[in-house]
Amino acid sequence: MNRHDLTSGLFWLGISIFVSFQAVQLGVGVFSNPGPGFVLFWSSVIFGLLSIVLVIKAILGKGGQGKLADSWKGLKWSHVFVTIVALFLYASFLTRIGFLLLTFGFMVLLYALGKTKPWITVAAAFVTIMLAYIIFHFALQIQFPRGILGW
Amino acid sequence: MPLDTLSSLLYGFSIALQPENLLFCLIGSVLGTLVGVLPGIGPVGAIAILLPITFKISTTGAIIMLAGLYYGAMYGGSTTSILVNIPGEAASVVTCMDGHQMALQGRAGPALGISAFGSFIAGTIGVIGLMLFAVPLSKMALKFGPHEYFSLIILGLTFVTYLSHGSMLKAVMMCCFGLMLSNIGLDPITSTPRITFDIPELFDGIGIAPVAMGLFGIGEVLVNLERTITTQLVKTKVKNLFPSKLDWIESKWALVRGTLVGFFLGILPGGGHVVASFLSYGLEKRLSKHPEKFGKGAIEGVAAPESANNSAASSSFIPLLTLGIPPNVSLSVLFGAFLIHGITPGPFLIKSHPDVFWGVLSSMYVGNVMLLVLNLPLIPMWVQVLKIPDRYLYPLILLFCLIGAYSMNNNVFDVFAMIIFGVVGYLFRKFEYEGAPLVLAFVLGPLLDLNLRQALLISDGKFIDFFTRPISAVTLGLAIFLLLSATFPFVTKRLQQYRESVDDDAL
Repeated sequence: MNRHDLTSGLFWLGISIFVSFQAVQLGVGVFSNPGPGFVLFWSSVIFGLLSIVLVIKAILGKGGQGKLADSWKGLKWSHVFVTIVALFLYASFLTRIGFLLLTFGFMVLLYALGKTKPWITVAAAFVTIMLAYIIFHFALQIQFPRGILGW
Repeated sequence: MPLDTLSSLLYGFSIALQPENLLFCLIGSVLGTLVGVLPGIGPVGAIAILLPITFKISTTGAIIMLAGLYYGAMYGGSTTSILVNIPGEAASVVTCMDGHQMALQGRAGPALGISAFGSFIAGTIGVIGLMLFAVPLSKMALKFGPHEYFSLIILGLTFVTYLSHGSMLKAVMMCCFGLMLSNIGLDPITSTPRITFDIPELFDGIGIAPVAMGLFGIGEVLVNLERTITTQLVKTKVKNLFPSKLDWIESKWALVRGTLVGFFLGILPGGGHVVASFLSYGLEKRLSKHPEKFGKGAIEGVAAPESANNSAASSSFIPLLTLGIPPNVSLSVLFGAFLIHGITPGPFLIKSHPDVFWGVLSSMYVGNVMLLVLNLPLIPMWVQVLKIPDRYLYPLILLFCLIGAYSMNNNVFDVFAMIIFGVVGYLFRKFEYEGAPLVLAFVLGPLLDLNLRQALLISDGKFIDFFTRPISAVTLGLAIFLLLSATFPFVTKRLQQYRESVDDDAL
């Protein structure tokens, strides 16, 4: 049994069922007068059928007998986890805290993951944020959220 | 060459040679080379990251820069392949085999040189072909109706799944998923909100930039963050960049064949430049009087794939600019750039925006010259770039992605969308799904939706009409043939054996 394909196949099957219900609610229409859910419905039906094929192949297949967690075995998955959490936190607090302050903290965290010396981490984050601000804000005139600092 | 084409080309040069556009061409080419050199981020992610920044510049300048980035990446990809044995770009995988061997034998200079000259020659011939093919093809495309467009899109999606590296089943699934995602937002015909969950930002649908930046920028960085990659630079002085007379004699036919293979495969939808580089290498090995030299430092093994991928990069603009159908994932992001700037690529582009069409086309000649002139002397600089530690590089890529996503609409919705697609891209790699069919289907989805529904309305729901129109019948027939052939066990087996042999050779 291929657990990776089985898991992903079941997940996709769930998605296809959800989307096909949504499409029906929108109105599939008829072939001579297709509705707004026409393509959505048929693509979700094909998607669902293919997901079932994937699930069957995964159950009958020989490869990938290992656990799901094996995909992360021996890898620095904690770095990925911390980065994803940091990215979501960054997006959540960007408008409230502001670009400069939050990005500085974000860069310090990311550079620190690379195990550089603390002063290098802080200096690199500072230089990065200043260069980014000069290039994107002053040169390309992108308006960043000001946040609590007001600039 | 017809006189009107020549005068249009001169008009194009008058636009491409404007100082502002020259600068954008230079920036695009240099950034493209940088992206090609650096493993971990490809042209798709880079074009997506730069996309929001181009809002502030003219349409022609923006497309010139992004196009330069695309074909510049083909030049840069070979540098890492030859010096580090790590392909900077998918199309340079095959260059590792003989290029790195040449470097180990102290011939890094001629390998880099023939790669740059081959890229220049093939890229330029590709642009000439693009110029000659584009005008008649766009005139022909004016006769296309919704039936023909629907069939062409289906063929494009079929090619991209047929030529996918992994499971074809999963590739078709990703196409369907991309189509479903592209349906989010207001229906183009009835303006009914589709799967928007009453979120106003979803009424316009999900943008191509957050999807591409997430899948190919953030996703790629996340995958690399958990690995420890040690890059081993060849400890040799890069000298004698100009290939010797013998090198030229040995590689001249490889250059010609690579250019031709690349040109014709580039037009076909489905990642033409990657397939072209593999196929030209295989062809060269088969035709060679000394096939045993391949994999051990044969200069033809560098010349053929490098000319093929550059020629394909140029010719892949033909379906984009004349039919409005991007043949690969990089150009589908470029297609998004056109749309963001209010221009729809297709048969009307030459008439409605000749400045953009001829300006971009002419800039490709200029860009190829720039890449040749800049790349050879700058190779020592690119070698230094390779020494930038990942711990500094990846945070920078993440920051560029975040800034790029935010600057699209100055709101955090796009940032969230990009991060979500980043996580999806990361999980795709874990569960062995490909992002390219998804992105291509996502970009072509609205076109498919509109043309299919229009065609059915015109035909009063009769599907047979797709097979009674000659162009539609041929393209749809070819798509069906490809899909069916992949389901025949013996064809699948041969295809799998071919892929494995190519992968084994590449590694």
